[in-house]
Amino acid sequence: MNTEELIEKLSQETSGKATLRSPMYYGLCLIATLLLYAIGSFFFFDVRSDIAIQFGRFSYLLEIVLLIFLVLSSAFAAIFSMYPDAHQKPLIIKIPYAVFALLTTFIIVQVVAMPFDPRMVILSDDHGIQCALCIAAVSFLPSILIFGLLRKGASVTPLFAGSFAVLAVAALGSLVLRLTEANDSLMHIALWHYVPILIFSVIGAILGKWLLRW
Amino acid sequence: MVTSPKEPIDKHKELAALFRAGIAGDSASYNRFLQQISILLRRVIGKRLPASDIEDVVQEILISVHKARHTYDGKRPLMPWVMAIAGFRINDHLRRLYRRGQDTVDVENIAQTLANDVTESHDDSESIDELLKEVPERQRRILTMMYVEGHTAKETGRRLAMNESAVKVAAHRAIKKIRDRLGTENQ
Repeated sequence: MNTEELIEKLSQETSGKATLRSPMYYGLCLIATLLLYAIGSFFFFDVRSDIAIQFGRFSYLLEIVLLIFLVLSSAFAAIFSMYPDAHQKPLIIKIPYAVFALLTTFIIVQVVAMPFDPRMVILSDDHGIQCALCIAAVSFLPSILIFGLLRKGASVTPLFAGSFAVLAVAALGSLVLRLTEANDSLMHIALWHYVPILIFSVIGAILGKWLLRW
Repeated sequence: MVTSPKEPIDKHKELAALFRAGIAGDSASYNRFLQQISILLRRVIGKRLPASDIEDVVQEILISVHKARHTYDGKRPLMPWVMAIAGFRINDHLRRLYRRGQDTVDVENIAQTLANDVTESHDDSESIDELLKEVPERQRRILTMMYVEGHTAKETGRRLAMNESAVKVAAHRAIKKIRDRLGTENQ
């Protein structure tokens, strides 16, 4: 088929697809769903009993705030990536990197400055892998939802879109775990909470490459 | 004629208007939009890809623009949206070329090399006809049409009911086979 014939054929198919709404609409819908899902997870896992004391600790509070920012920024970055031109807001898809870098730096600084808080140097028991699996389990359902949503669009950065999608839900899983698990060992958190997030987002990038093809 | 600096902006606005009308159901406007965008794309692609690939990539981009039309709401500039899709497909194409490996050389160049080899080293014992017997019937037909009768890949494809890319791939394989054969004989 030559280009003229192709144009002729395409111009006969103008109707059909409804235009996507704004990324803010999808972003807010996604955040609302993730919030409801997180609340459900708290009921399932039970919020840690010392949560009030923990929130009095600056490092814990900052970590939770950064995790919330990571969930929000990654979810929005994923949504914006479903538009070929990122809805002409290229900065939004760079924010998750900055937040993740901040979170990593924060953890590294704490590790270097140990013992920062006696509770944070307690070595973890043998349940490390269970935390990573728990993050994966919590992330599983929302990742289906978010990939389903992304497939509505036409991402020209499927690797990044997939990685942002999984980063958002894995950060949500980690947030749920940090608010429910009474373990503040830095080594445990770094090794079994944040390294898995990084690995999951790489897996998300690979999934994105396959699932977001169009 | 002196071109006004405002002209590209007006042109882009016109394209956006045609596209908006097109996605609202006006197929004549959509047709004009695709026509005009294909001219623009040829110019952009020509800077990054060999001439033989331009039409294939233009078609790929037009299909992608069509598939992704629901992601454009008409409230933001159109050209960054079109160019994002174009860049994506051009990179895709370059990646495919790269993956095919360094043995993927322009078919015309190989044909030229092949012709030289035949006359230089096999002038007394071999002929192109004999070499052509080494390849399957369909590939032989394609080589004959392209390099003896002088048809383009597109014309050959049309006659053999194949698409242009398939013709190029078949020609490339046939030439590679002949070249391997020549290499074996020279050793």
